[in-house]
Amino acid sequence: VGAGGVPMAIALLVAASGAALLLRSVPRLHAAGETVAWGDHLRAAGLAGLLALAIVLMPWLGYAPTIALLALSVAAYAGARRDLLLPLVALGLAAVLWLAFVGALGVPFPRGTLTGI
Amino acid sequence: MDLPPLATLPAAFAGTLWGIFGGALPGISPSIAMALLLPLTYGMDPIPAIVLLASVYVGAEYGGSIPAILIRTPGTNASAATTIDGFAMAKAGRAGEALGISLVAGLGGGLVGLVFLVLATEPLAELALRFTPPAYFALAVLGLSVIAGLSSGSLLKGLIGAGIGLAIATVGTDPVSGVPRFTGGSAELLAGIRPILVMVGLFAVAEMFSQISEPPWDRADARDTRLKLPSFAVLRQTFRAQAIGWGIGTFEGVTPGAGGTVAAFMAYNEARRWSRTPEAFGHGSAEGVAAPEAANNVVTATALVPLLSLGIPGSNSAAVLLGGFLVHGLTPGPMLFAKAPDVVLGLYWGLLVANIAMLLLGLVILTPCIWLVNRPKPYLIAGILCLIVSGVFAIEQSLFDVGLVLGFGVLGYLLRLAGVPMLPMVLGVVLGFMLESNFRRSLVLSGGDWMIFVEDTVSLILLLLAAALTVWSAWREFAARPKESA
Repeated sequence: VGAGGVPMAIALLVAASGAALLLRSVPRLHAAGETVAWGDHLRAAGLAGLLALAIVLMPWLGYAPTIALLALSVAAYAGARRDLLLPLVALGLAAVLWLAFVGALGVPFPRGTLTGI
Repeated sequence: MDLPPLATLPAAFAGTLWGIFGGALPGISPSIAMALLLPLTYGMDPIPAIVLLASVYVGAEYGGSIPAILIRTPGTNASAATTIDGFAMAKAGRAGEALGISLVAGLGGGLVGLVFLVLATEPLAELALRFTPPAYFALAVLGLSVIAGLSSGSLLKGLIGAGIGLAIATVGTDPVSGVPRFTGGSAELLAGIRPILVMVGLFAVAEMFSQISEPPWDRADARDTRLKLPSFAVLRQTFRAQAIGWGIGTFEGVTPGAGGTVAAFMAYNEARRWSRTPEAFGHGSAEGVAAPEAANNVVTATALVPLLSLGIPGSNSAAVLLGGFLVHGLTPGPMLFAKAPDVVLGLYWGLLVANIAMLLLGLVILTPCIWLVNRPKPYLIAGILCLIVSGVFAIEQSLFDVGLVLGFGVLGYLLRLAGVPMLPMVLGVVLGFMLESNFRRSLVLSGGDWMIFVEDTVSLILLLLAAALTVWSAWREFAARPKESA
């Protein structure tokens, strides 16, 4: 059994299970008539987009500013009221996480090339 | 023998507190939390130094269960099984009760494991010595045999989940030939994908994607706001589940490489099998929290058996503890008991104090933790995602890993829509490397003869046990179907 043997066996397992599932499900597909909650999926995709943006921005902005921005944008996106509390919580969260991960644990997060932080 | 120095007391408390803190942060594994303190131990006396490191291990393995219950984010690999019923209880407004059961079951597990460690280190070590590559392969098969029970009623979907998990485990360098597989030329994937990345993505990130469209917490419901220790009736109700956790945790702990994750999943599955109310599992069962917590915490003690008696570190955490011994000129193994009995005794005392410290610290910190997760939902989602980004980056200082977690979050969200259960997938990821590497090593040893798996006694027993468990699970599923449709 070489390097491809076990992955091939796994692929066969998944393919066989998938095929059996498909055969069992096809007769029910038409009967089910389920509606797809596209609105919910789009909101989930939006949240994934914010997270992806944070990953892209971190090398530019640095750890703490990115976390503050991520907290601010996600909380607003999730429906937080747009008042003074929102930026205060975002900044507070970034400060607490910075203290825990950088201050206490010494994790070397990237410094932002734009901010130097 | 003399009692250990008083310095072990603050070391045990400080280590446990640090461990709970590290374990509760996703990405900070027990071994990382221990390794961060290793340099501090250079200037310490041997006994407090070893106790400090061992207490971090105890605290971290418990700490991982706090976010697992409160926000469906397993802080450690071994706490993944606790998310199932722990988070279901938290969602039903019973977070304080779930944390109380977890704390008491964890304490019970830690103490039972300690008793085993003290009384049975030498005989249990002989069991560990009998594990050859075929036996490890069979152990992984035994672990996978619980898939049927974790498949939420659809064995086919469970198999698909397990297959995806096993496939993820094949990413990286081939364990025998060293050939890169499925890395797409990425250097970051050469070392494979850490199970914690998969778990955080599948459980926590996917949960946030689902929560973003759900209404805010219902403030009218009776949500727990304080830690609630289990009553005598609950303890009696969960005793069987805990006992199952103790047994499985002991066996898995003394087997190098198996660890708390497999123990917790197997304990969960067996507790459901033997429960009077198996239908409650997955919907907030107290037994579903108690069993994996007991198993996980037994392992914190029994995993030290191969280290102390044979000098074999069976896990990353045990390897860091081994480093702590070596720093102080001590070599774990059969001679340790003869050469440094005071250190061994000190370690035993330290583990006892660490478990008591876990209870006392839990009583203090868990109520504030519950308060924290009852904050308005938009801020909670923001906080959890920021914590995940920070914790995942901290593992390898890699933004690539954060991207992987995001990818697994999307995958988890899609698989949820398709009704594919997450737990078989997690089990596949955890056991995949152990399964494949020992399968192929066995065949190399035997020159390609598959009979090696039945000629090895331990392997044969474990394979027969796996077959029996699979057949039993399948039969129960089959027998239950007519009743459901009736």
